[in-house]
Amino acid sequence: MKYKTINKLKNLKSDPSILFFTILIFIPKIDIVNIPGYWQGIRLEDILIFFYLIFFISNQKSIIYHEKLLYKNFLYFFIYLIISNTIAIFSGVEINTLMLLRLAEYIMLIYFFDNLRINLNKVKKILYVYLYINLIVSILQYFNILGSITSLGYLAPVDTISLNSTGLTGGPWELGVVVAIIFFTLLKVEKNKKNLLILFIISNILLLLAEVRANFVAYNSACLLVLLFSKNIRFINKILCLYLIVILILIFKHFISVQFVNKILSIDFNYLFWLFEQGIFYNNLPKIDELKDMNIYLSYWYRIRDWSMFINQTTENNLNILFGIGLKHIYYDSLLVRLFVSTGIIGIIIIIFLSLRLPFYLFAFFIISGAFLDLFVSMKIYLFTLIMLYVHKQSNNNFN
Amino acid sequence: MNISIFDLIIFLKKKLITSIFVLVVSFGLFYLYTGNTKNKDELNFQVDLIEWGYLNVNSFPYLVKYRKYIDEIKYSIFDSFDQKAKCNKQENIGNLLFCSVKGESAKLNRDYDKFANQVSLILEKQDLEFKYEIEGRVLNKEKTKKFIENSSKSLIDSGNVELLTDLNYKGYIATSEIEANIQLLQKIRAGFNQNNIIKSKEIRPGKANYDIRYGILFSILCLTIYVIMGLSYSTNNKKDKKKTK
Repeated sequence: MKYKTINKLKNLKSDPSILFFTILIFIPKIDIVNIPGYWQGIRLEDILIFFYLIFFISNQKSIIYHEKLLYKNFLYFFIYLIISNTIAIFSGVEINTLMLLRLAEYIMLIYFFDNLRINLNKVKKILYVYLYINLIVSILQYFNILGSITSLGYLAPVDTISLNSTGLTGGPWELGVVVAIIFFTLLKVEKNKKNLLILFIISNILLLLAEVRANFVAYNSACLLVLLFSKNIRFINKILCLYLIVILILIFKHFISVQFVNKILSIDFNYLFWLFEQGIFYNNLPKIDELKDMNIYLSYWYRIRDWSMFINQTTENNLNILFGIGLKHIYYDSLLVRLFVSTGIIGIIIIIFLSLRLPFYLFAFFIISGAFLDLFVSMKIYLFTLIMLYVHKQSNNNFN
Repeated sequence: MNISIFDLIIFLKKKLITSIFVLVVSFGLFYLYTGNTKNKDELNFQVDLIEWGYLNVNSFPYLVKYRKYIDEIKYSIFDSFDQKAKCNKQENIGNLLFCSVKGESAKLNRDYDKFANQVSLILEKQDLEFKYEIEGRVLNKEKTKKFIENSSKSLIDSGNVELLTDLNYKGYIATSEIEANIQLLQKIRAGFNQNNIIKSKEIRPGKANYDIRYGILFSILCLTIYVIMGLSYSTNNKKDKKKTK
């Protein structure tokens, strides 16, 4: 047993790409060098990617483009992003240099995964370990035994940011998205239905601990789509399942009071639309103390206030409406707003076109969670998305 | 499970006519449902109580009793409109009430007339009180004058001229004070008669709840549900067909 473990460790050491892969997954957000004026500094993953860049450039076998490039669509979109940024610079917009560096890192990660040869079972094991560690850490954080490691460094359990569980990730919203993506990755490689059910429950526990409404709704909606589009479940059972969900929602709405679920079920969509309309189209967002319910709409109010500013900047110029204002800002709090503001209408059309072959449940997940969360500003989320697409692709290839 | 947007588009293309049917029917149903329900009409009016604010009760304490009519008018607002009327004050204009009531316009008009009648009755009552007060004071003035006349005659007859001057002076002060109060009351009475208490009546007809944007959103939602359920059914159906083959 001991011999086997040593052998496994030796194998891990002998393959630097797997070690690199594992470190990228597990490493929490720890700044090695601080950058003045920014929350985030230079981290271990940035240094690792930089070393990979040196390796990639110095390796004569490295190919920038080939027919079977794994993430062609990402690359096409990044090329468009560079074009839109160039146009934004020419139209007088000041681009954030750090965001350009982040873009370069993302491109390098594409090449890393394109060259990665890793057994899917190994990926599966690593993801399971990561998920279970997150579960343990999140539970400890829930009981205020452990703090969290965010962009601001280690925060004690009493800190307001540590109120919701973050696991090994940099924030509750990041934990929610990462957990959901891990589930959608394992969905492809896990053949045991019982394990899948356990995974589904664990993911929901983590989402409940993270308490991010958009993630919870997006994940469960995507799972519902997986169920509806499954060939192995009879249609009558799918309908029964839908009935069960409706009954469950009604029970939670009228009989059982769980604070987090109440916060989701008591959302007034008419009011959400109205706030959006007032903030974005009329620049007449009501004052914070005039909100219908601070507990439910406060975070949305802050988002609209910022979106209104970003969208106004974009709509000042017709060229910017078409191509966006590039990577001017760091956080947008919405992937959809980021797409419009950074890449313009053409960027949105390109994204839709490139997503045509993406499984619909993933598309729905990214749209729902991306409406309220700036997903890909987080390297962890981008990394797990690449892993998911890698596993999906490899699994499809194996199946074919 | 691997159904993509591309498959959704293919499904839509295959079931184009049904999809258009779903869009049209859902849009129509939404229109029918929301078009028939509309918000209530709203009656707005102002109640001007400023005139009562001008009553200088500190200098003329006998005017305090007229303040009770403010409460009577306020009560009649709630009495006439089944206590559904909402009245707000604005900053610096405390005696001007901005009232609004929601309901059917015919009932609102009926209630408004009832309220206007009540207010006019209250004002008549107040006017009558002013009239009696003025008449009482006029009578009092006459009595005072008569008393001074009789007293003056008695003093002249008795030859007490020194006291006569003093009496005339005091008599003059008393009658002129009564006269000033009578004039003030008459002025206030005229002020109330000239003033319109209920102002700016306006009935805003209730708008239909129908909003074309929500109609479009609703029909898109219905189409999405149709496509998802359709695809869900077809994935099972394809499998069954394969099995039978």
